Amino acid sequence: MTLPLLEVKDLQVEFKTYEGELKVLNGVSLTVKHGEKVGLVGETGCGKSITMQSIMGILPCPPGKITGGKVMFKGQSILRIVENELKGIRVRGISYIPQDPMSGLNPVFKIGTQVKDVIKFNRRDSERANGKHIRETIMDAFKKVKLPDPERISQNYPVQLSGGMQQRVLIAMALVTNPELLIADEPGTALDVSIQDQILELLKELVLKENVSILIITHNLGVVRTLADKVYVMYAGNIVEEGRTSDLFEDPRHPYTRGLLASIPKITGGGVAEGIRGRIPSYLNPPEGCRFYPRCDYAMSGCEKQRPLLFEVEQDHKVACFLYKGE
Amino acid sequence: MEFLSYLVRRSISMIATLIGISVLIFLLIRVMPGDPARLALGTQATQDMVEDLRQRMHLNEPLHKQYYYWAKGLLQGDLGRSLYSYRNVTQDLKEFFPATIELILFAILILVTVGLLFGILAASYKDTWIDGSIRFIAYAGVSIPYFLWAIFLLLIFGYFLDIMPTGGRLSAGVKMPPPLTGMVTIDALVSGNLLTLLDALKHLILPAISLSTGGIATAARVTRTSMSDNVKKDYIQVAKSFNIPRNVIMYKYLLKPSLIPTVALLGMQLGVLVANAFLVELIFNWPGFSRYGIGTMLNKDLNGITAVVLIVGGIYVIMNFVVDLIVAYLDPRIRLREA
Amino acid sequence: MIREGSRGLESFQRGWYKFSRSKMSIVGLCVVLAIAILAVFAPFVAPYPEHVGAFLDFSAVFRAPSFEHPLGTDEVGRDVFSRIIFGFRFSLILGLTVLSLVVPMGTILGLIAGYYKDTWIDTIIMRTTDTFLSLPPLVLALAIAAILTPNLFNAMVAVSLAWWPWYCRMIYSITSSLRNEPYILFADVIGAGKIHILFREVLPNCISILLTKTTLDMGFVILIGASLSFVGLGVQPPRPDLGTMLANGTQYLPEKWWVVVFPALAILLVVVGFNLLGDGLRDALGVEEV
Repeated sequence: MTLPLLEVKDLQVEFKTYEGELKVLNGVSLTVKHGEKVGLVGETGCGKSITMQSIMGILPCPPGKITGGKVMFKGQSILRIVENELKGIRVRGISYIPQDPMSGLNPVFKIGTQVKDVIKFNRRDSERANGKHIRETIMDAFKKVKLPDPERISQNYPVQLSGGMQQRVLIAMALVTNPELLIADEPGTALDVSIQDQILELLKELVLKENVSILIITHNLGVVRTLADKVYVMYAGNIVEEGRTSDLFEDPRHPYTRGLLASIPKITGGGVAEGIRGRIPSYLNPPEGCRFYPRCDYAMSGCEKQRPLLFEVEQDHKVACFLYKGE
Repeated sequence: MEFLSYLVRRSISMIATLIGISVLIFLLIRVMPGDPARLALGTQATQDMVEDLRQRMHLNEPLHKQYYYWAKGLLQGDLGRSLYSYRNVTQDLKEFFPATIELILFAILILVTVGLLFGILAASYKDTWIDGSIRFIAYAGVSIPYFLWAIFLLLIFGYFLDIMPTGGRLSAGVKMPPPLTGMVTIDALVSGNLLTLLDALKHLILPAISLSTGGIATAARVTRTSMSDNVKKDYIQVAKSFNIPRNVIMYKYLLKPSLIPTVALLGMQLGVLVANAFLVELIFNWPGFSRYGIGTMLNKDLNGITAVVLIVGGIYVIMNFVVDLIVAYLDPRIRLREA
Repeated sequence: MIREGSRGLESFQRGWYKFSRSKMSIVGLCVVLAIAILAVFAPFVAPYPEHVGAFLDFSAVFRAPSFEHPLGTDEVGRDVFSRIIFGFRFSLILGLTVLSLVVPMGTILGLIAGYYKDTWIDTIIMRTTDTFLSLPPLVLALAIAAILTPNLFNAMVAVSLAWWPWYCRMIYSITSSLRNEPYILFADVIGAGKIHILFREVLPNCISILLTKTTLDMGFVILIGASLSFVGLGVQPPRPDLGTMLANGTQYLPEKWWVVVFPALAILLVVVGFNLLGDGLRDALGVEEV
């Protein structure tokens, strides 16, 4: 078994707030192997953004606090505390594509300037640093993301570009450092559906062509279904189900996953989509056992006191639910 | 190119505002109770003399006609005669104006450099003692009214410590440099008269600082807040994730967007400076335009008052205009969006 | 920026809790209350209330601070401490009067202008406001006070005329941005009268910002009043006003320092008190743009 590219093991994170300490991440584990497209899915507030920030090393501490677990990239631990708001200790090999393109680009600088700086500060020592080389790299990257008229765009300010083009610029910036892993935060959510589709297709293509792995953080099941090979379903700070995309969508096991899929309105088949009753638990005093217990229709007596670990139900398909214990 | 169109738009709006101010001032003066001619001549004058003056001042004609005469005179540079000293108002102004401009320019200089510096320091060392003390100083600057600063500074440095002069522009016996711009410091610099320059600076420092205290405090506070707000923005996170070094993030990517609110606020600050110069000049015995203005007000010299208010309003509007241009230069969103 | 109208007592309690967490805000509140009490009970608190009017006692001229005269006496023998207390009284009167005129007037104009945005009503009101705003308030107040006879009443008129546009503009911007909110449009659709809409739907959103700005403005208005008196265009002697006391006293520096320093500190106290209180309100009520 080859070493996974990215491995998160049992990550625990707390957040200190005015009301008290929020136990946000309750032991999150996931892996991304070389060439894999992995999706991390969960509703707003489940902790997926915090997971991503911990991986990237941009979790603000305080108020955040990493209380346990490991994050390994290519076998090396990259988990670290960042105290200074401005210090960015980047991990070579991982690139981040932010959620909202408009706020991801600095509004008062030209596009070209921003991309150039990314290149300048990320080149390996062996690479040349002259202007011509940088310009070529930028043009290359822009062509890869299918931006029309790269010269002009380089001279433009972000406000002059449409949302879709801004997103492509951000993807280009991510690629320009030749990463091995892309982390995409809610790709396309800030855009119109048709543009979002284009961006997702672009990402699919790029992942193949550039030979990168990608970790997609999203609340949108559709995005996951399009892009990902493997899916982790997250709820209230825990991974509740993980497996191949096809397996998960055809045969969801965890009550939460089932509820999620049932909530998707279907064009065919009629009927109103059902939601899941209840709300996510308070992180201030989370339930001791399974965090989904208060909302679960299949709850059993043991679920309240003990937190279920991941049980394997079929090959590469694991569920954190006592219903499947011992299968 | 888009900048040019923005420039044109703002210029038109500025001219409109200037016209508006002139109307306002005119109406204000005419609408206030009291007969201007009577006020000018005093209670001793006969009714005939008053009538005579009223004719000459066009006071018996309909309001809009009066405005017309007045505006015409204005555009020709004629601000009328001071009803008190009988000198040409324009002449009086020319004499006193440069001193005030000098004071204000210095105050702006101090304000911008010190204010920005404090703000950046406070943001860099956020939540440390440096930040805390700067915030305290800023608070003191804003809460302690400028004329109190003037009095305290005068008291401490001028009297108790006796290291600064207590008034005027130049010490007795120091010769004025050849009048080029009317601003003693620049004239002295240009004519190579370093001793005069030094003396002039010594006289200039305390009043300039008093004027600038409020502005320093505001500039520091706004810069600090703006920087610490922007640090949380996505584009900074992205820059961090791409390992852009702290210095570059701080002084390039964070600074420029954060300066925008500070500069925008500067416009209002400048208006306040011009107004505050009134009292500061009084306290420091600075022979400037504001002191002249107060003189006109105390003497109920209507033409003088009109001229002063007009000038102050005009400066304010023009300065705001300049500030708007600077902001548009710094923030492409503004000039590009309006296009 | 805009929050829905607050729900009475509960939000007051929450606001108070937030307010009381900041020590400086409590200090501000105490200072303001102390000054208010002094001002209201001035005739009873001041040790020498008769010094406030025309009073001369050349035997007690320029006494340094002592037990009988805690802050000293001035150039005609009047007790500085008593005069300062009455000075507070006049300053507060000025501030309260001006603001109670300016705030309703500015607010109503702003509401109307904002509601009828982009009509001729809006244009007239806001153009006038903008023109007023293009002059620094101090200069405008000085000019107006100069033209009228200098006294407390006219000083109030002058400051009011200089100050109302700020409220008009502020309320205007809130109203015009709220105008397109769904709940305003719905109220219009179901036939609610314009007055109802303005006062029951729009106004509650402005309360926090109004309260904060008014408090902060008290300090500024008093300051402008003191500036007017300092120059000689406000309260006339022998009435004690902090500004006039300051002006009179500057000629006797530095030997008779107490005639200047104590009125100066008094002004400082008032301004700082209201600033702290206003800042505390701003933090407690969550207002951002004041």
